[in-house]
Formats: sequence, structure tokens, C-alpha cells
Amino acid sequence: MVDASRLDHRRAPKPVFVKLQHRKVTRAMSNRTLPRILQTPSVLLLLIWMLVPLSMTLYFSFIRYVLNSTIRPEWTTPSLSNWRGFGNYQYVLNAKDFWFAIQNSVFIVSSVLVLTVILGLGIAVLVNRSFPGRGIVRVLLISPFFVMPAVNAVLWINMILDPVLGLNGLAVSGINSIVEGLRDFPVLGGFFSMWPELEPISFRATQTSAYAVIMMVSWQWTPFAVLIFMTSLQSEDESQKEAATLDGASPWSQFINLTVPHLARPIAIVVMIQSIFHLSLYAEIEIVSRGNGNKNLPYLIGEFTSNNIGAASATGIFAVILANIIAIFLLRMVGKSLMD
Amino acid sequence: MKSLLNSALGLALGVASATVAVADGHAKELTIAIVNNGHMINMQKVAEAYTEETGVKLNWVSLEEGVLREQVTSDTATGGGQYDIINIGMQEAPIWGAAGWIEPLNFGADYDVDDMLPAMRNGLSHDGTLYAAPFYGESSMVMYRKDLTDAAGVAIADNDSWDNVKAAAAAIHNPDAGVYGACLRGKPGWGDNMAFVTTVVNSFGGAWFDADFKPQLESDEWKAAINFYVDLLGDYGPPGSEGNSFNEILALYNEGKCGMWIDATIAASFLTQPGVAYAQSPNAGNPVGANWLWAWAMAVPAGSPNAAESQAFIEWATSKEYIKAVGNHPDFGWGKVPTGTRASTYAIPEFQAAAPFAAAEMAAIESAAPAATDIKPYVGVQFAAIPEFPEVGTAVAQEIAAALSGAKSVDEALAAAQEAANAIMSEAGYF
Repeated sequence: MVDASRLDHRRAPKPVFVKLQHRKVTRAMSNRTLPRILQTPSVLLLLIWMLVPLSMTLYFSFIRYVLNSTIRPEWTTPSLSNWRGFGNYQYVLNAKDFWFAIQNSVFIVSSVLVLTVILGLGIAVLVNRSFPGRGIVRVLLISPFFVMPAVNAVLWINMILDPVLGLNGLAVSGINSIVEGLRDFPVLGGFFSMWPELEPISFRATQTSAYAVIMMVSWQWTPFAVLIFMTSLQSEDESQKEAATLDGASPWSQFINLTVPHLARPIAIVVMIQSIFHLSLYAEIEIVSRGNGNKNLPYLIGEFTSNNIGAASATGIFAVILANIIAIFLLRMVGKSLMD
Repeated sequence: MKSLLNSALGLALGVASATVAVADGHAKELTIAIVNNGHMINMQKVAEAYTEETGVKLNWVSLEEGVLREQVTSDTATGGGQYDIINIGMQEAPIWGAAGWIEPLNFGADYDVDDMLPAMRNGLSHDGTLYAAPFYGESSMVMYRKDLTDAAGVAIADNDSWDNVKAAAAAIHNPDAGVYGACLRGKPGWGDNMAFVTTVVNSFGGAWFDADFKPQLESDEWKAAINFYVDLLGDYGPPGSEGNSFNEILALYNEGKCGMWIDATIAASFLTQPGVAYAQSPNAGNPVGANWLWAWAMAVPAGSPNAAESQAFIEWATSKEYIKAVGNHPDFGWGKVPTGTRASTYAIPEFQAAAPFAAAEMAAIESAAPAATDIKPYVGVQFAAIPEFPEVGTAVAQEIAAALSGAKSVDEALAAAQEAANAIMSEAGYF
């Protein structure tokens, strides 16, 4: 992980008393056995917590293991005699939606990242100025983040995006009836009668369900970006900005040349944390379209667990590998931006 | 090693739930997993009388259908023992009975097991032994707005032809006034769109598998049925049908947006629009399997330490007395009794008065045919009672939804569905 002490180091010289205290502690604990003994239970617990599920998943991924089978009842008990080698992995790799799930997952995560960072930057800069009622506006801005993901998805898909009873359907039929009315006008009517009748878009269809998920997740996570950006905007050097204003720099060039570089680190943090969270999206995908045109690896695991635990475990291992690839990539990027 | 892994898995599953069954021989506490729909929720209140009478304390774990299925399957498969009584559907009951996961049920003479509707009893048995007792059951039928069909000068008869039904849908379809000709399930899921789609396929003479359990999704019958379904719902259905299942369509119907709805018979008790009429399911030449059969039933996991007390509770909850208890309960009444399980329920005058759909529902359930036939080697109308069906059904359901969305042609979707189904069935060791 990122070395947090480096951050402090850059801001201010390290306070001297910390060093002193540290030295004292080391001397007092010259006998290291006691602390080790005291740490053992928590370390062991953490190890078990992490290793048992991971090794069980690995084990299941190399054997035939199904919950129920009338054809091959011997597969229903996990045992080494059902060893299958990489068979589960091969099956998962050739499964209908495996590559689609990875591709779609990357598409959703990157779209959400772009949207939340851009919207978050814009909103954070706007509410950074002081205006009456700023406190209330800030609280309201943060509130979507506290809605549970499943509730968020149910609200969006039924009340906003539904093509008949939701805002989407009502708006389209409203526009249609206004246009209908305008057609009766003597001169302009001819113009409006050339307008087509609008059809509401169904956001549960194969072609659109990923966009629905991107919309609702972005709505929920923009406040997170706003929150992070807002806090770091408060540490921006105002005198630098005043100097830039005196030199005749436009607000836009101040934003690009002063604010955005100042926010480089918070942007990196927002990108990293969100990627970790959005790789495991599930509720939104389940509620919007039940995997129709819209899947990721966790959803695929969920589909396999209806019976085929071996394949589900293999998919789980693939998900771990994918998360690690992305984590290494992201940590490099974030680590770099934190170091220079 | 085996047992260690088993218990480790059981432990992992058990962490989620803090419920512990008392295993001291004569238990005073039963833990019951139920699906969270109306009849089951009401049972929690009606059963207060049972606790008063017998002293048995009941702990209810109420879960959403999909979650319940997952929880109960993994708990039962691994012998987790979280629950004393489980709610399972007709798809699971015969398979789990065959696998020895659930106890066979034996009831006293007072229970009158012959009063149970034969279709229900057959669907919940394996080799003639009853493994789960039906709590409520349903079939499917046509519900339509008679005011609209009369105004359009069309009629829908019992067991009508699909072409007539489509013509009627076309005649009452009026999207400018906000009325859509036919509202049908489109949301992917083996228990959602595939429940309805399978009845259409059955009525065209098709089946999921042949005698060797090879998927038949690219057969002429499937192609004809899916083309018909996509045309009917695409031309005369509401926009966004690929997201609609029972609850969504119920909301649309009660908003006056649907001229016709083919779905579970239980829907009739929730309809608030005036002028509703019922007809038996349409078909395209083959009436066998044109209407589905489903039940939520109660079963006892094998090896449960409280098996005797659990059976006694199930005997009470699925008895004639229970139905009377709901009918006479001040909070519920005769309109809310669980239907579709016993012939005697339909003979009760108070129930007949409270449920105008009763006769149509009973006719539909009695005509449902879950048994294996020459066309299909498996038990079940709108599903196949094999352990792999949920996986196959889900994969195919998504392809059908893609065809309905217009993202794929019917032929492309069925080819992809056939490929996925083949992979799952061959992985499972059928061929």
C-alpha cells in the first residue's frame, strides 16, 4: 500500500516528540516475546478469516462439486476423488457470457469513474464558494451516498426510468401530447406535424441496461467524489489564486492550472476506491435486468451457485485475478501521483 | 476430510444466521424459512393460535424468493440444519425427495390427504411418496377487461386458439389512450418469463428436452412459439416488457394499462379494475401444458432433530382447519385463504362468494399436467424437475429477453440458448 508517512512528511517536518517516544518504546520492549504472544490470537484470526475461504474456493475450483445431481450423485460431496484439474476453469472460460462479463464490468467501472470525477469536480468547485444556505446544500448533495444500493436501483428503475409508469414514460407521453396540441395551430402546425411521435426508451432492455446501471451508480457515488474534492479544495492556496487574478488569468485557466493539479491526489484516491467497489456491483445488475445484456464476474458467480459450485469457485478465482491486475495497475498510478 | 469440509462449509453458511434449533428431543422451538409473499406472511399471525395451543414457539425467517431458494438449497445440500421447516417450490420437491434431502410426509386420517388436488399431490411426490405439503397452489389463465373486448366486438373463449387471442389483443390495443393489448411476462428468470414462455412452447407441441435430455431449443416448435411470443408482446405489449414480471404487470393492470393479462391464477384476487373476466389458457393445437402448475409447499429437511414436531406443524398449516382459521380470522377473511391445494376449499360457500375467480382457478389447476409424456421425459409443466434446470432456464431466459428487446433475432437468440443449454447439460454429465 501507499506509505502514509510520506504524505505527512511533505506537508510539515515530522514532530520531534514522536521520534523520542518511539525510541523509548523500543527500548522498553527489548524482550519481544510478550508482544508477539499478545498479537498471536488476532494475527491467527485474521489468517483464518482470509485463508480458509480462499483455500476452500481454490479446492472447490479444482474438483467436480455440484449441489445436486441425479445423474452423478458422487459429485455432490466435495472430495479429492472428484479431482478435475483445470476443467472448471476451462468450462468457465468457454461459458457463454464470461468474456462479455469482463468487458461489461470494465465498461461500467470506467464510465462511472469518468462521470463521477467530472461531475464531482464541477459540483465541488461550485459549492466551494460561500452563498446563503451552503450548509443545507452540502448535506443534500451528500445524501444519495447514504441510500442503500438495492433501494437506489429499485427507485431509479421503477420511479424514474420505467417507460410507462415512471418519470421517463410520463415525460415522453407529456411531450407527445404537447406536440399533438401544437399541430392544430394554423401556421406552425405544419412544422410540428413533421415531428415524429416519441417512443420511451426501456432501460431494462439488452441494449440499454448497462447505461441504467451506470446512471444509478454515478448518481450514488458522485457525492463521494464531491465530499473528497470539497475537503481538499479548502486547503487550496488562496493567495496563489489572488495573484493569478491580478495577473489577469481567467477563472477557467485558474481552474485548469491551479485547481486541477491541486486535486490530482484526491482524484487518484476517488478512482482507486471506486474501482474496488464497482468491480463487485451486484444489486443494481440483479434489479435492473437480471443479467440481460448486463453482467459482471460476481453476477456470473451468482448464476453458477444455483448448482455448480465448482464452476462458481473457478469464476471466483478469475475475479480475484482480475481484481489484482486492476489493483496493481491502480496502485502504480496512485502511488506515482502521491510520490511526486 | 470430507466431514471436516462439510462442517466447515456448514459453519460458513451458518454464520449468517444466529438461529439455533433446540435439539433436546421434545423441542419447544421450530425455525421456519418462508417465502415473503402474502399467504405466508399471514400465516405468521394465524399461527399464534398454534403456539397458544401446543406451546411450540415458532421462529420465522422470511426471505425473498431468490434468496430463499439459495439459502435453503445450500443449507439442505450441506446438511447445515439451520431450519426445521422449509418452504420449497414444485420444482425442488420431487428432486429433493429423490435425493433424500427431505423427509417423506405421513399424516393422520383426519388430514384427508385424498382431498388434496391430484395435480398438486403428483407434482410434490416422488415415486408415489409425498415429500412436501402444498400451502398454496396456482395455475395460469387469461384475465381480461370484458368492457374493452365487448366495445371492440371480440371475445376470448376458454382454451381459445392463440391466433384468436392475438386478434383480440390487436382489437383492444390503444396505446394513445394508454391501454396495451396484452401484458405478458418478459423479465428474465426461469420462474419469470420462462414460466409463461414454456406454456406457449408446450401449446405449440415443443418441450425443453428430448428423451436423452438433449435441449430442443432450436426445434421448429420453439421457433414458432418464440416468434409468436415476440410478435404478440412486441406489437401489442407495453414498452419495457423485458422488465415485467408478476408484480410489475399487476401494477400496470391496476393502473388500467392492460387489456389482457395471462399469468398466475392468484393474480385474480388482487385485480382492482372493473369488468374482469377469466378464460382458460389458449393453445396452438396442443392443450397439454398450456397452463402452468406451481405450489409453495412445506417440507422437513432430512435428519432434522425436530422432525416429529415439524411434521405436526405442517399437518396443521396445510389442513382444512387452517383454511377455516384464515377465513374466520378477524384480520383476513375468506378472500385471503390460501387456495389451490384442497378440493374442499372450493366447496365452501363463503369462499365462493368472496372469490369470483374460484371456478376458473380450480378448472385451470385440474387441467394442468405435470407428469412426463411422450413429448417430454421430465416432470413439470413450465419447468423440468431436474437439478440443472434453474441454470439452464436462467441462461435461456436471458436470450429470450434479448430477442424481445430486439437485440437479437429469434433464430440468433435460440441458437445461443441452445449452445448454452448444451454446455450446461453436458457439464452436468447427461451426455
